[in-house]
Amino acid sequence: MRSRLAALLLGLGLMAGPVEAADLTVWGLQSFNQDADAFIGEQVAAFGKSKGINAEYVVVPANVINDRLAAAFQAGAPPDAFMHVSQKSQFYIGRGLTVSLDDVLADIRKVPGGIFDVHLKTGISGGQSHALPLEVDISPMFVRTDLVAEVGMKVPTTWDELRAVSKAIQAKHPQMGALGMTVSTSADAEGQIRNLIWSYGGTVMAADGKTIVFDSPETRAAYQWLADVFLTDRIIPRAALTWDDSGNNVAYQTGRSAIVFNPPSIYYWLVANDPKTLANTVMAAIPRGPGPKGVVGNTVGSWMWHVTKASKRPDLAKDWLRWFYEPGRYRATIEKVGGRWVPIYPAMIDQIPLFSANPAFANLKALAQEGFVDGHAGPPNELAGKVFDANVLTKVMQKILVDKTAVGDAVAWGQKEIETLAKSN
Amino acid sequence: MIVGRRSRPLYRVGLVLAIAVLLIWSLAPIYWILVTSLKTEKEIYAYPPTAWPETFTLMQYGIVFGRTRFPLFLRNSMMVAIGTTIAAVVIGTLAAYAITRMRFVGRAIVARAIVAAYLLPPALLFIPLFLVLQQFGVIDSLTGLVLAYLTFTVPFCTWMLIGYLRTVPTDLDEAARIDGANRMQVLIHVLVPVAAPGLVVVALFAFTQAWNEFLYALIFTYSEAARTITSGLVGMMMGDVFIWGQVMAACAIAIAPVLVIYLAAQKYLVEGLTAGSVK
Amino acid sequence: MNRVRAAVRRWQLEAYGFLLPLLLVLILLAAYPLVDGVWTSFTSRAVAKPGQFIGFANFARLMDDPVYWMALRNSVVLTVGIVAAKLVAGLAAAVLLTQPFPGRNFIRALAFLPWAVPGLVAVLGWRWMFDDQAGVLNALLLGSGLVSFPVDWLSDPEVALWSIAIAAAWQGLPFFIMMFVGGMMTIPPELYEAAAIDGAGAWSRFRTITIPSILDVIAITVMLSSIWTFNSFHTVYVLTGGGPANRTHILPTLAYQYGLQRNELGQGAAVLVSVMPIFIGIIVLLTRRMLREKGVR
Repeated sequence: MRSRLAALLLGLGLMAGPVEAADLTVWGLQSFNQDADAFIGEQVAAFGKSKGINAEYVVVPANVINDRLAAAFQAGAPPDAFMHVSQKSQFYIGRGLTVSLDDVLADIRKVPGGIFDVHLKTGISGGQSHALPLEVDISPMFVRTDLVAEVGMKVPTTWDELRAVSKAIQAKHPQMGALGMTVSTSADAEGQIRNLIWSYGGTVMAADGKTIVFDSPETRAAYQWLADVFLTDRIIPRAALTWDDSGNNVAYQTGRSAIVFNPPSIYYWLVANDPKTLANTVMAAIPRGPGPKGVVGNTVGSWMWHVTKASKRPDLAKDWLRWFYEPGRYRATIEKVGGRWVPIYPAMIDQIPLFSANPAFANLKALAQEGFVDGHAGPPNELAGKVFDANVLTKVMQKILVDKTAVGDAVAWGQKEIETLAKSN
Repeated sequence: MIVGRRSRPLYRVGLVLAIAVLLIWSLAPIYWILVTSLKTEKEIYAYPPTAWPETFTLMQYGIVFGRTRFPLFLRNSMMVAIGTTIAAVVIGTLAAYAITRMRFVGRAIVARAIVAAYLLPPALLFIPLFLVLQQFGVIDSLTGLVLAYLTFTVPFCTWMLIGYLRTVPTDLDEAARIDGANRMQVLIHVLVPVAAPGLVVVALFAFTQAWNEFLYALIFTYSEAARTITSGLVGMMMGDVFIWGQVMAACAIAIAPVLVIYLAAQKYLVEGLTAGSVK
Repeated sequence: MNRVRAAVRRWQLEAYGFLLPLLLVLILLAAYPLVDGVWTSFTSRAVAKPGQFIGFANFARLMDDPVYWMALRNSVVLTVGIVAAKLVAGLAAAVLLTQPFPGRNFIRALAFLPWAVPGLVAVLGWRWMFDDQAGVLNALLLGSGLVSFPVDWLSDPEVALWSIAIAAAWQGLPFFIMMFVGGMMTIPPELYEAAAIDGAGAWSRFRTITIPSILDVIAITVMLSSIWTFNSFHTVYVLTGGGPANRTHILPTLAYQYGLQRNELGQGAAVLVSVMPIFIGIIVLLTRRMLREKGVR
């Protein structure tokens, strides 16, 4: 028995060897496309090689990046550069954990046609840019046209039509959860509840970015719509209450939901795996809200690059950003991601056939330019980030859907929460 | 032997049924992990699910080994588990020797501290231990994980080894002492060979505990270079689409080493575990 | 007299030489973090912010926090429920596995197998089986017509607590069976034979002989398992992450959320410190008992 153990330990020991620490570490969010993640990884490695250093790219799932960054910052050894969603930028900037990227920004502004700069605002601190958008997110509505046609209806353009269509499909296919809305507290859910509220004409803040006007008849009506479809019609799958950001992808891609809201990572997957469903899919605009205040509540977001103050090689980290934004390489990355990332260079949308020659991506420029940013109707400021981070809007939703709190009480609670957040430093 | 009249047919049928229920309960989840890992992407999400792969494939294992960092995690887990095992067994042997063979002031307190530390749940310690490892400058490293794992393996190993060493008659080492050997020599040349089977069992426990640990691995490592299989697995699971085939394949790989240990030494492990707790 | 004192001193010094590595581990990696953790819980320490002493403010916030009370309730309910289930099932299985039948050792080895599966792997397996969209459990239930809608194993808060309990019981049951089988094997068969001659039935023999004989084993098993079950972070973290609507949190996952996801280390530490007195109580009790069993004093 002893010799057996010795042999085992020896064998295991042989497998082990020293691990090299990287000279430059870059953390990126999962792009929902393993090929694209690998491609960015290769770019980081190639960048390192060109500088004669060992550079490492680490893909971090969105669900755990807060925790991992917390641990890394607390330990004083964060990555040199990291991606995060724009709503989180101010958190790190506000704590003095990042450095100004004005010099990099000046370089990428020189690219002909400029950049979509709506999201620069989320990265500003003391007049300097501490975070740079690396893509633009749009979240259209994915609709299964075959299932809609089967019940003799059209692709919905209002939330009420959406409800009627989903109900009809649900009645025909009781095993489905026809409307795959994410009603958890994940980032996707935060985006989708904003689509709904903004369509109805509700907002979190007034245009000044300070006055909290969350509790309004419009906001209440939006939540009421959700309560009706979830609790009364039961057309949203129950499991959507705990979905992570991939829950609605899976639901749509396995045919269990007929309508979902998502960035076009679904599109990419269908192209690669399921041409039949792709042929029966349209990417449509977000439905319009009711009444005179009703609008099309498209949201646009961004993923941002940050360079950390604790980095031992901030200049190299910035050089990596320049490498990343270099139009030739940047275009290759965007094409590899396959629709999930809209380029920050508007001119590039016309150059990439994926976008320009594809009816699925018509209106892209308009969406990217005119969509609502987080913090609507105010600017995407720190308070907007805090509200996002504290999951206030989705918590109000879960109070209604899980705890069966009355809509008015839940929204009033949300108003108070946001006011408390506004007061805290 | 509570039930007496065991020749009755009814008793036999009941016995077989009960065993069947117990085995299905114990084995079905393991079976499902393995079967899922051997299916194609499409079959994994098919409705109704297939009980046995229609198209048998090792594709998921190929992805896990070829396209993820799992091989690195596997190696890290090996290093951490082996490092923890060696350190815990050495420290535990030394301490168990002192407790069982020497009379010194504070012996009762030390014995009590060992048991208390063994019982102290890691979930109560994770935030402070994170801050302490950070102070020591070993956060996010394999060394840091080994240190963290010593907090539960050392008390456990010491506790079990106290039990083993107490079964070794003291005449043996007293004879060696009279022949002029010092205590360290007695421990190494007399007691360790006699208690070897016990040491092996304790080592296997330490290895298994370190291999299986998740909470500390999740929190104390955040760069890929220092991740182990358990924390790496959670990273694989979250955020991506259609990941279950890979996750189940990775799970199957993660089970393998402890399963080998278990199958090879099941009898000793079970004896050791029950003895370690009560005797 | 002097020589005696010198000898005693020498013995002590030598013993502590052997104990030094152990003491280093216990003091630096267990006692110090424990004290530091208690201190942290009284500060406003946050990620990348040292914070300052704020007295009982963190605890006061917890007292006003419905999620904290929910998590505490879940922790207690789950621990009591799971341990009770394991106790009953463990006794039944141990009786079964101490019956004489061919291949008994092999069957025992199979029944203990879940013990060898890493806890994280076990919950990942269960999460996959509980999956609402492609999980095998819903497929079996729907296929057999037992339910007409998929069961929301992990997203209906009431059901999710049961799902967590099932997965936790699966991992923990083998330890109970092993302990009880070990205990039952030491009961002399003559006791049962004598009782059988006196006409005692199976249930009465179980009650009057088996249970009293292994009462100590039961007590220690239950206490050990209570500590482990209460702190089964990975089960909740992987299965539900505490959701939906924070309804399935237990204290360790809540501490993780406050401490690391929301970056408030002091608040997170306070969640853990708030239950420390209970654990210290159990640990003192159990330590005394285990030392007595082992004859170390």
